[in-house]
Amino acid sequence: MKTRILNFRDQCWQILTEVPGWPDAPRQVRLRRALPILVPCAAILCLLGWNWFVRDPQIGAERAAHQALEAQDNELETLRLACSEKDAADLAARAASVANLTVKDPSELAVVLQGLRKKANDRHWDGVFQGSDLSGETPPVNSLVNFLPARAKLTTANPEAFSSLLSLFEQFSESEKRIDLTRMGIRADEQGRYTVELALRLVGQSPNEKTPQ
Amino acid sequence: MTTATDTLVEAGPVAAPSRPPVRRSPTGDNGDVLGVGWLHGSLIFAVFRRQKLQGSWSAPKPVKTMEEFGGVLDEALLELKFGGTEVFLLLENDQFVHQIEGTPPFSDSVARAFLHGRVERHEKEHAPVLWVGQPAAGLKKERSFILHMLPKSFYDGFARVLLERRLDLTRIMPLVVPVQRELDRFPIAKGRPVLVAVEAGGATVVMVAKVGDELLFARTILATWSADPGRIGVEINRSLLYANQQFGMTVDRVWLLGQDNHATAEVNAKCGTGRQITVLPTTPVEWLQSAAKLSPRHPVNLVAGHLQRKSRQRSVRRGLLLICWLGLASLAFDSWTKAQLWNADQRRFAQISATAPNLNAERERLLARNQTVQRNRDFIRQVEEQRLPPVPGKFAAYLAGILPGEIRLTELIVKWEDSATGGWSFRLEGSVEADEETAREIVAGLQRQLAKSPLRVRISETARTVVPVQRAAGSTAPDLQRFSLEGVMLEN
Repeated sequence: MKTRILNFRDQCWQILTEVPGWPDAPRQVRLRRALPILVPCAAILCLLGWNWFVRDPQIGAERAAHQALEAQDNELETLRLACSEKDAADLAARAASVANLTVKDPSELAVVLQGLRKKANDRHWDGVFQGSDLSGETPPVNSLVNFLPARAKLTTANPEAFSSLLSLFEQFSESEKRIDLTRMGIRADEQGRYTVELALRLVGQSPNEKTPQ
Repeated sequence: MTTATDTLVEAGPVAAPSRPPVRRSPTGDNGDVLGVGWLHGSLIFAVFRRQKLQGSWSAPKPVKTMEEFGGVLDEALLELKFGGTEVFLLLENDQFVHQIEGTPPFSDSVARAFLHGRVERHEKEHAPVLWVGQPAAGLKKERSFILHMLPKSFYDGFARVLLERRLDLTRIMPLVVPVQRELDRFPIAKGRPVLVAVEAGGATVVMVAKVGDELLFARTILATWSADPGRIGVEINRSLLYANQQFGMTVDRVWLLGQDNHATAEVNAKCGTGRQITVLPTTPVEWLQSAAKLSPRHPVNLVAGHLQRKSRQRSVRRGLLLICWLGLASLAFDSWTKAQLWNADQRRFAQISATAPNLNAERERLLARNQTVQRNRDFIRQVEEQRLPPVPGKFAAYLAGILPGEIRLTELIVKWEDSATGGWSFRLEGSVEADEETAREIVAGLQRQLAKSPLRVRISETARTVVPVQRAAGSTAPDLQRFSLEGVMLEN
């Protein structure tokens, strides 16, 4: 083992210091020959030493001193990146627009139902539109809206009134407020009279939510 | 069997030559090869171009030291107008030892390791050597090699003399190599043992080999044919007896290769009758010519391994140089990059520190903004995107379009199943004015029409009923069947 180490050392010395054509060159010349390899090695060692023992500890200390501030800044950056100011403004505008589809209070609900009744009358349907009792309805947790149920009962003696009923349903979809038709029951008797029962659902804002901005 | 005897050539570390070497042009290389035959003091140079002899020149007097060799070489280069760089050396002197070694009959690698051990022992006792093992016919069951060993100091001195003149040594071979090559071309049957005696300057090389086969042995006798023919005869006879004794071979052919035939009579007298003795006038230039045809990779080239090792060391050195400088450059670049990044970080730290008092307020603002954004998104989704489609109206319109004339509907209910299926269900009731079988077909037709609708209706099979309406006895009214259908719509 020792011989191998010595041989290896000798080979390394030969590779580093051999002067072509001068096998027994003096040590000084051999060392000069090794300089092109030794100089970069020494420079590498110096650089590594400076990096490890001088610069990195200094950087580490400064980073530690600013760690809290940096974390806060990073958090701010994350918060900023979650949404741009323009997107926030666009969303606010759209939310305000969508808010118009909701019914703000019971008096507005009454107005909406009155309007529906008038449209039914215009199509030769007699009937009643009325809001349901809300006392038993609990909006879902985290829901920003609550549903306002309403019922309607329409009758007509005109056997040809079926098509006007369909146009009345279209009015629900095209209304300024969101109106969901959740149940429709149509009965026809022997004389050709129609009785229609409807269950409607309007959308109101949850009482604990502010109007979207 | 060792033949080293008196020292004739003193070739070791070289002192400064008495006159400076001839400086040859560093760019000139016309591809010519210079062959140097240095055989126990006699020195001859020959120039070859594509292995063909261009000219030769012999030293007028024996050359014994490396200093003398340098001077003679300069003279030869001028005389021969040599324009190449490659040089080979055909060498025989007392420092160049040829030693027969038997090895165990194992593989080549084991034999080589064995020989390496022998060489190391030799180097401990003497000095570092260049060596090569030439396979020879073995005694009994051993493998046998002729170890050619040349002191490294001789090689270094010789190579330095050449390097000073921008010459490159590619081959060093013992005389037996070209002799064996020529022996294989002699007009003798293959496998027949032959003794060849070659005049080599101030000595004689005796070699016994089978034609076209391995060498049996070789020895050097420090005697010239002209000065001591009697001794030549005795030693050749001894060699014949040795071959007979050790290898059981009767050698009946003797070839004398030299510049004159002074020893022929003595050899005839000493070696007895019944042997065919052939004299072939040969000059050293012819051995150089034969050696010139051998490749630098010939297995008995002493410097092949050395040059290969040198080349490998040069490659390693170049690789090390490249790695070191590239490593330094990349490390420097990495350090510079890190410094730039650190400078940027420092600027950022300064900026953050300057705005530190406002960071909390900004954080609160952004949190509130993002909460509002999220709430607006949820609000829009809940109000606008979760709107129920107008399925009841569509279904009623579709049904009115496909309802057959025989059917009269009495009830139609469509409702949103909010919690259970999350879809729409419907129920139809009515009557069909037809007999029971026809009514069933009409209802089934209606069912098929509904299934094809864009609302993707699925009728519940268990809820489908067709029941005849009971009539009063004697009634003349047409048959009437009541039916009901229930199902779901996958449209939502």
